[in-house]
Amino acid sequence: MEERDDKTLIESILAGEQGDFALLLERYQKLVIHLVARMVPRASDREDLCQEIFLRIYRSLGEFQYKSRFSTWVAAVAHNTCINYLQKKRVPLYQDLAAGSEEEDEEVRRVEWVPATEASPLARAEAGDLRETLQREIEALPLHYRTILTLFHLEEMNYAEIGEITGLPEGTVKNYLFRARRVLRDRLTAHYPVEATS
Amino acid sequence: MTDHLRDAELQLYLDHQLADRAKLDHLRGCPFCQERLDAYEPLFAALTSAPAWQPSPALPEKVMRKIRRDTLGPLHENLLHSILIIGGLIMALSLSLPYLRPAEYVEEARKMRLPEINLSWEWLRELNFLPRLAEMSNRIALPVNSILMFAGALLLVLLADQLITFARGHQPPRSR
Repeated sequence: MEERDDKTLIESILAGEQGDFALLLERYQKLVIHLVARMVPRASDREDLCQEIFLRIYRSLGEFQYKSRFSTWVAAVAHNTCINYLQKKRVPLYQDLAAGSEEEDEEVRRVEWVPATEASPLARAEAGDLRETLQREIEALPLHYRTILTLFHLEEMNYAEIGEITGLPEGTVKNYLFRARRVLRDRLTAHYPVEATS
Repeated sequence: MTDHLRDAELQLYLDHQLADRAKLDHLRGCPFCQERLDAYEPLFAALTSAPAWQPSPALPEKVMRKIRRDTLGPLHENLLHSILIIGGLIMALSLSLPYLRPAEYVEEARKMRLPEINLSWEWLRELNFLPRLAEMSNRIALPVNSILMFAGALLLVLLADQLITFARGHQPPRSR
């Protein structure tokens, strides 16, 4: 059977075919789950929040203007609902990571290369173990970084879309993304012991 | 010597967004930059793995159930509301019906020589409505008793229905 596109489904739901919402729900379930899992630290609240997000999407479906992709709008509803929840729970929203890597970057640009005597510790790490450690390290990052990493790497959204969802300027999204990945690389490298190669 | 790539440029390369040809050429021929790139590659691969948390498989059904309940509206929200409404109507009718005796009313009205209705201010003043109503309700069983009983019982049922709705935190669907 031919798959109906988002617009057809939305129009059908607005015309009263509420059962079609199950198809939209199935299509965007992963996006909502990923965002909620990364933004909300308390696991016991996540399921209720997912339900609330989908109900909000259903109730305000008529407000979707088709000016962006539907996935961007869904992510924005999910993001705002999570932010409201976190504000109610008094979870700090605006922590930051230390920026200062520009000078280090300048030094690196002029360095003379000496062949490494050690293999990259991340390249040697077992993939499953690396993923598990990475999830823990992501959870330790401030909220904006976790959100941006999720939208960029899991949902394959671009800087403009992420900016629209989070309300941050595109340049800030880009900076946060680079900073988060650099911090993760450093923390993971520190996590795995360096072994000398023969 | 061409400058090595900045950290952000290495990340851009891994995002497939580095377009500067000179930098791409440098990266291909520079073992130092390649080494730094190698340190990022496993991280980028692992970043595409989803968080471990999963909701219960019943999540879609729970959402759809809430949506169905949402669409039906507060008075028909569930069985309890239906029972309340039907039960309330039966109670209201059984309380009010014994008072409804139209034949007796017509006879008593004839005896009392009630004025003809013409709906003018003069008529209303002449009617002296409230004292007359009190007098009539003392003497005969009027349909007004029946109506008041019915309305009272219905009001109680609606009040109970709204209280239950409020206690459950029900939100009616937004009109579209």
